[in-house]
Amino acid sequence: MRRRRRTAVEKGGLWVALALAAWVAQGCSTIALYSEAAYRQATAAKAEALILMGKANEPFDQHRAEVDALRLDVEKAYEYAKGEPKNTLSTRQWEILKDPKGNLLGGFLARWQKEGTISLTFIEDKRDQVSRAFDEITGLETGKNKPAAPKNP
Amino acid sequence: MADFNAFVGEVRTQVSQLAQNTLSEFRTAALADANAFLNQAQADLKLWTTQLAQGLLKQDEFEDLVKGEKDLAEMNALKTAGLAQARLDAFVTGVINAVISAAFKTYL
Repeated sequence: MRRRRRTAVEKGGLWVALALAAWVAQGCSTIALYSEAAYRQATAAKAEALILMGKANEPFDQHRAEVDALRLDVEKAYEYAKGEPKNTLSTRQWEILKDPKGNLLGGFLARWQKEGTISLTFIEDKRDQVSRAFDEITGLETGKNKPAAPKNP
Repeated sequence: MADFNAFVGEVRTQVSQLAQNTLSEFRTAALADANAFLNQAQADLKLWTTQLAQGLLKQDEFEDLVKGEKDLAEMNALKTAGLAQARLDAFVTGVINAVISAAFKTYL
């Protein structure tokens, strides 16, 4: 039996179907794409946090405004992450970092507020931990797939 | 039939390279990252234990640091899980693109 040759319409339809499949696959990601804004927020907050933690051997009341500003910046970064679709992993990272009942940045600021001042040894050890915590956040963000470059108009 | 065999061969070649680039390399990197994390945690614990013995850290500060390491481990696990998802997304997209590319190369 002779094979029927594909018509031009059928061939064209094949390419349309393949292109459509590619387009659909591009949208079926399981995790959010890389966000330059999220990365900048994390790196800025890291610098701010490490500098402020270095002052925790001084009375908390002298730095209350700076602590409030840092907490606000961290909260903004958290809300930004939370607002992105398919971004639960990054959101959970921020939750752990900022938790005042936890043992990273949020817990450190709460301890400083409660105790007034903190020993230099503990400050240095905790700064290293918090620095690594921020690196986990930026490490995930930079590892996400980059969005497609916009085409020139 | 010859065209279809050529198409399948081209897809296999591209997907094989894609799997190496996105999946195998990720596995190697993830294992290296986990080892680095464990080595750092071990070094930190040793340091804090020494500081506690020397009276440079209070008991509750030592406990805080140990619990902080647990929090860090969770953040590290979240990062690894996220990177795995991203690599899988890239692989799936790559497979679709490989099929498209092979089809154009074979039949056009």
